[in-house]
Amino acid sequence: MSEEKGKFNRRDFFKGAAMGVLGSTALGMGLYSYSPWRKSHFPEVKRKMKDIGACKSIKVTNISETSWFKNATLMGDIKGAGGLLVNQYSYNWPPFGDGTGLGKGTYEKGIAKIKHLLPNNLEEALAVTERLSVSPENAGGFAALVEVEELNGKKRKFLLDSGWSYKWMDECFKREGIDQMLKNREIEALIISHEHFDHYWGVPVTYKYDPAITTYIPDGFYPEGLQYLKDAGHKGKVVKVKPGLNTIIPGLATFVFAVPIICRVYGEQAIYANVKDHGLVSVTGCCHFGIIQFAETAFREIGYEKNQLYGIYGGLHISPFEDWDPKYDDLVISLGKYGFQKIGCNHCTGVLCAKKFIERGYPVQKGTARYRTPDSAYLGNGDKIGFGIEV
Amino acid sequence: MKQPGKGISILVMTFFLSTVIYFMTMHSHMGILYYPWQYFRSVAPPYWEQFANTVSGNFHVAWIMCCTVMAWIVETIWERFPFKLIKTDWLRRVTAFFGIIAMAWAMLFFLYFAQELTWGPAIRGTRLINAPDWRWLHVGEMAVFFLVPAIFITFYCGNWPRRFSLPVNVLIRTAITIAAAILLYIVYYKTSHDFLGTQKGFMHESQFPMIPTIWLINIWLVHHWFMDNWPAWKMIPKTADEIVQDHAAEKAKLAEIRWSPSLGWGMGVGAVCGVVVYFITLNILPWAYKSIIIK
Ligand SMILES: [Fe+2]
Ligand SMILES: [Fe+2]
Repeated sequence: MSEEKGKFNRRDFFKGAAMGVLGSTALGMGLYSYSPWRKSHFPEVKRKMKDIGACKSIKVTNISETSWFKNATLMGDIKGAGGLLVNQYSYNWPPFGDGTGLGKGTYEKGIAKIKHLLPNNLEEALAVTERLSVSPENAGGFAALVEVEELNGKKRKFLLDSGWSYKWMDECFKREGIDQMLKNREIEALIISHEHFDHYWGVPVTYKYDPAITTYIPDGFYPEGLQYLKDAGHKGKVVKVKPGLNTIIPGLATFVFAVPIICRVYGEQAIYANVKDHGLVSVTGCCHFGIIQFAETAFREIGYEKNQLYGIYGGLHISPFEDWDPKYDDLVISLGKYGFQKIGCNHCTGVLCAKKFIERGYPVQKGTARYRTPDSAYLGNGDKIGFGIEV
Repeated sequence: MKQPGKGISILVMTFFLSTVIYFMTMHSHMGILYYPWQYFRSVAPPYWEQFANTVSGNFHVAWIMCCTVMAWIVETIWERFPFKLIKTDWLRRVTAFFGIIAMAWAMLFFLYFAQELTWGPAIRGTRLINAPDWRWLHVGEMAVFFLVPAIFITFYCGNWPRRFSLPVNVLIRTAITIAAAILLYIVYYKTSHDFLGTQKGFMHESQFPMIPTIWLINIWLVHHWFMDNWPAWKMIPKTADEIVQDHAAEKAKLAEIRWSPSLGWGMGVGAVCGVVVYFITLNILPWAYKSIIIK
């Protein structure tokens, strides 16, 4: 096997070559892969600077941010039905209860019990639903009124989401006068953020007062969700918004993220408003894609006033069940870098998260903790926030 | 030391060392779950925050998973190469211990970089696929994909191939393992939603490929260790002669690897090739990710 000195030996050469390849690849992987030099491989970020126009101010009224009243009940139901991956229509929650119990429902069986009552006889539908559903008393909902003041002073109104419980949402609509605005056709469109029960299942309450209202939904609704739109008595235009940016009126656009979400939902849309002399305001339902992602997307896609990220309203989906994980701290720590000047968070942000924001000195707008909002650390039911206008 | 004293001592020592490792890697992660943070009790913010760009302990999950996979690779398809070339016992053991950790870190950094190349740099504070904590965890998930073919080659293919010199055999097995792992990864993400109840795509919150892959490996371990691969293979104990022959063959194989100018030339050329392969891979990754559509 041994060779005379100086003579080329193929077997030895390949042995050495094999060791050399293994060794230097490992070395390359170890020394280069996490070094600062690696950054030269990343494509440069090119800002698209899309012009969405500008508005003078925007005002948001929190119609309801309490999607459910007891975390323990909600989590218990979700666990009992098979966990966070289970199709939300199978929970047998209101309004799609069919009397068969937790985790055994379907959209078809549920809607069959109430379809003939939608949207005009919600009292009776509610009575049916309370009898046949799991945990009907726990349902609340998320909805917000967005009032945009155009540069010429004209005011325009949009409804973001329609909550969950027929009963609770009707109460909240009446409390904030939304019922009258809908009846008078003052609200020009309903923007549904995503198909989740707490944002979407209360949609007949809106259609009860204005069945013809234009409705924007994000692309990615499941067949049940699309059918519910019809079954709920909607007679107006439906706009399915494709992933990406979609300008609605000057200064107001929505952005759809194609993301899978817990409880078998796909896609979420949220609002960008460009407020003159202030900056960009984001209004979100749940923000399952994450507020930092929303800010980064704005930076990449849109040109906005003063290049300033100015304000936030809505759920930030950080700790909806008041649980905690170090990755949420990553968000709390990073948010400061983006320089938001007015933060009106609530809903699935979590009270604990709002407290951590306040501790870090972020400009969180405190609430009044009325109408079943549990804490004043964030904007509660009935509270208002203005961007470019004081309220 | 005699059994059972030896076994019990090893168990106690292992338990002690894992406690130390736990305190070094995960204790701060747990400490910041409290409100407010347990600043003094748990070293908060965690010492790895700046380096890993996250306060999450997933960073440690990642490299420890890589260590596990690397230890198994060295033990199976590498037949303890290259560490077994070292004749002095203590030196071999120490080198193997730190060598495996070093290779695991190389794997850790590379798999993280691979994600940056395909999905863009991670942004701290975002969720799932864009966030550093998810990316680190995904490094661990990816690492386990390499373990599946490695174990298969050793358990069910008799560590094929064996006909070349040890380093060449090792290189070929490694290449097969990498190719098979990539294939398995693609197949998993293309199909898992059909049988695991997860949603399509990479980033569902309950998408943990580590679970089914480790589950599969566990079955193979039971099959190999406790069932002697039955019924695919029937165990016939080796005779004393055969064992002596095996030892001699092993010695010869090791003796074969020693310095010669040809070996030196080979190493030089191989090293250059390795660097080339590494940089070509970096350029192929984004393209490959775009061409293989996983929805
Ligand atoms: Fe949601
Ligand atoms: Fe929500």
